[in-house]
Amino acid sequence: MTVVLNRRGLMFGAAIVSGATAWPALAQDGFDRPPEAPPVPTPLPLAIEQTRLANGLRVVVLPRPGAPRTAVRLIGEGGWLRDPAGKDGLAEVALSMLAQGAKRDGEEMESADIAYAGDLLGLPLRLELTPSTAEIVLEALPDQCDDAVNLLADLTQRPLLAFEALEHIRSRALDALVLRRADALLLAPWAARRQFRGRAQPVQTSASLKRLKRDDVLGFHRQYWRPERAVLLFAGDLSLQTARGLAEDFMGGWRVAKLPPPGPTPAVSLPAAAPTPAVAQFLPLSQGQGCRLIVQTPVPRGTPPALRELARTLMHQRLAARLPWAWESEMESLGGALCWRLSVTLPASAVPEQLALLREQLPLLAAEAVTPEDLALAQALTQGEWEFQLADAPDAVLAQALAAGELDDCVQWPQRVRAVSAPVLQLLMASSWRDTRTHLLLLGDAGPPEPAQRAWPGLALTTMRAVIGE
Amino acid sequence: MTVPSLEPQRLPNGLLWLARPVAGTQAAVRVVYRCGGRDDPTGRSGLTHLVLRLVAGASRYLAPGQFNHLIAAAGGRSVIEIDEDFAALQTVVPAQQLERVLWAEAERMSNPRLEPDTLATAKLQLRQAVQAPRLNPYARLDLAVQRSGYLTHPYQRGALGDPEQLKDLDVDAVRAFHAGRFGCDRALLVITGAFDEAAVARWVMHYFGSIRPPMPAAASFLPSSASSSAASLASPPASPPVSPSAASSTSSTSSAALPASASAPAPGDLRESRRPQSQTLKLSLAQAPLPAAALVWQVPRADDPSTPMWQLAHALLGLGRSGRLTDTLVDEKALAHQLSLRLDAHRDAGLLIAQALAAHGQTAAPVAQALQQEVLRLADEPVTDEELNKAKALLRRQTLSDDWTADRLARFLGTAWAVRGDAGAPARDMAAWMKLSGADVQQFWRKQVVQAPVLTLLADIGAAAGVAA
Repeated sequence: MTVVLNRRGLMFGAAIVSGATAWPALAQDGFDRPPEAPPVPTPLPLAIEQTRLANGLRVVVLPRPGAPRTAVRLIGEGGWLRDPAGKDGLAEVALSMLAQGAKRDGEEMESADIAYAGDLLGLPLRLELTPSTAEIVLEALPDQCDDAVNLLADLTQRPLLAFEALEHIRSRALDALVLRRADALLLAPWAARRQFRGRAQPVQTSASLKRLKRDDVLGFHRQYWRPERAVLLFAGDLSLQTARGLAEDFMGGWRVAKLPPPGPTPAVSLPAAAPTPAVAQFLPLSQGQGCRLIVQTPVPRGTPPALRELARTLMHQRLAARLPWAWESEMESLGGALCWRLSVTLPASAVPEQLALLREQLPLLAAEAVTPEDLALAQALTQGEWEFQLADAPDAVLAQALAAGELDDCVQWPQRVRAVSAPVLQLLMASSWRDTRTHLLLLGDAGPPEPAQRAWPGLALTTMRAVIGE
Repeated sequence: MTVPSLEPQRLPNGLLWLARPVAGTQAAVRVVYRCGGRDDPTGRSGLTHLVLRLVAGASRYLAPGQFNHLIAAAGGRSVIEIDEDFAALQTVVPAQQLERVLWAEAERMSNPRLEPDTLATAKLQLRQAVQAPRLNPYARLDLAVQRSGYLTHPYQRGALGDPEQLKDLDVDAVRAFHAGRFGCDRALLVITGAFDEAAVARWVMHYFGSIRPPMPAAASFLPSSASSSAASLASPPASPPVSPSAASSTSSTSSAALPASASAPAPGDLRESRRPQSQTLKLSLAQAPLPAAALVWQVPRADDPSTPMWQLAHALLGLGRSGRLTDTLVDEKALAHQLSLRLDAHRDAGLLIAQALAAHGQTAAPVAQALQQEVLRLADEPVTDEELNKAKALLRRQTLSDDWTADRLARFLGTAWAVRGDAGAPARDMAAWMKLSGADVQQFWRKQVVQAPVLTLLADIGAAAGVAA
């Protein structure tokens, strides 16, 4: 027998059968609207703890009671912004070489031994390079943290940095370069930075990689892996006292010679480098189908991180509603200079229409009034994203803040986000995305250039050599 | 090791639900329908994907865009997932917002707007998703793995679908498919995070217990890929709906034995043909920067008892920086620039895919040969206890990490239920690896891989690609 019941009728029937006679939820009038939004609890700042060893090493702990594993991360200052002029790629090569060989108790560990030691902890060792930092990341069970810190100490204090390893890593870096230049998604961030900041932005080329010598790597390592310029970060179920003990045991004896005379000049002085005048470029790539579209605009130096994030979030919401594609957005800080970037991948056939729409809508969306509802939406999303990231990878959140010199903002994030007012947010948004300050870059297959050029006047064809340098 | 019980409860309308607490500040809600690309009717590839977009798009009390706004205003995020085996909607919010999400998910499940206007929007979205251009220069190789890796199974088609096959689809056909495949009795609701378990039980009963079960007649609507295909695929009748009258003789929630968890194929399973012999296909990737190769072996369905063995062998070869493949082919011999070994386990059949990008100066064939040798070598070169323990440590961490956040656990449980027929299967796998020895793995490998036919895909570049098929 088929009995047709509407939702409410069936709910009553089931409740009677189950013997539930008076559930509070039954008092609800119907199912036509959601239950009232609960009050938002007052979030607490992050309770990080920190100390310094006698040799200057900074130890930072984010206690996570009950966490089954502990993330351990050693952060040095050798990010890719430190690449010397003409030797773009040195920071990446120097970091990769750390995992190619080291000494422990006088015995040599080969790359396979190092890989094995990392894997034995349950998660492979990771090497991460950011604009301002080089990082080695491990994760361990609470009772294996000593093994993790010991391995980090071996790699940074006693690396072999052998000639053969340099050749192996160089060869891999050259292959990676070939892949990057053929794949619009991989190429996009580098080409976009070069477009935005001009030649001040380091970008690897085969020539710059071939130029690297072992002495360059040794010098770079000596200059940037130093206890007084490093941070040992823990996130897990451990106290500051335990973390300090581990640091003392394996890194307390980390001594280095006095800072050597300055090495080759870094290619970049980004804090001083002003963004280039707005340009629109189309770099065709023969591989793949479709096109990566990137627009960028400068953001005033010194804009607080919470304000930046609220602006990015609100603009992202507006853009996705008006131009419904899978947009990505970020605000990148390079040595204090800020760039707001929006990217999307489009089929070639959609490029002209979306370009025209984007050109028309960007300034309008940015200039729209920020209502209290807009602010509340952006605040909720920003706060929610922070909590999501903290749950997923707390050490990565802190490392990113440390790298950007924004640890205080990160720790006080909920308070900083709530402190932003609608007029301030409006001011930042309205000053961004003006025609004269918006850069456009198309990478890949956007079809014949004329329709795109009609949609975005001034769009000029360019070449890999003009953008990347070779 | 104790394996926690992960048996879902069944509501009177047939909906299964499962709640697991996770420490933290968030809660996740995942609704999984055991219907994926494999269930698309022949000639209508992408219909499941389309219906999922309709379910996610608008409902009686949620206008288009309103669900997303509700979640955003709560500080949450929401995604839809289409797979060969399942379709899922997942939302993560601050834990205090959980009740509102449960209301919204129940609303999307019970009252989706299947109308001409929402259908047109969903078709456009699907076209965008499918057209989302393949910028990766190796996309053709990935496609070839899927299309040639499976011989007769609908997994060949993937899950996204073909917009051209849906162009003339009308709303009645969509409603019929939705009624047969997206009923609450074919779904699992997973709730994870920081919550009061009694409150969650009340909310589930209140918001989801009131959803009307599908009509018995809804099962026959469109021919499925299996029933209308001439291939060697069995017919998949829809699982019978639980009628309210039947439910009235039981308690409001009852423990439910999950369907299709046995190793014998259950009704509705599609079968894949065995590859008769090894085969080599050449692809032309004239514009790709480095040659590439892929080797593909068939593996059994995901709920096969041998799955833990496959997982452990996969870990020995391909997990971590010290996995045998990377250690030998990238670091020692420098033949490959990049390697991956993927165990693609699905409800009806699976693939083991070893893929390599050749290092500069190499061509695809020698890389494929070295890759094959290295995979087969697992059968002969002894596995030390140390190596075995390392592989188990990697696997164990991978599995346990899925318990750490509400988002991951909801995805993990929902996927295990949809693909394995049992949300607790991964925990049992873990118990099984612990008992396996290196000799067990080698014996298994000799039988299942060394003697099995393999598909080799060679993707050369430039002049070497001239002979490609």
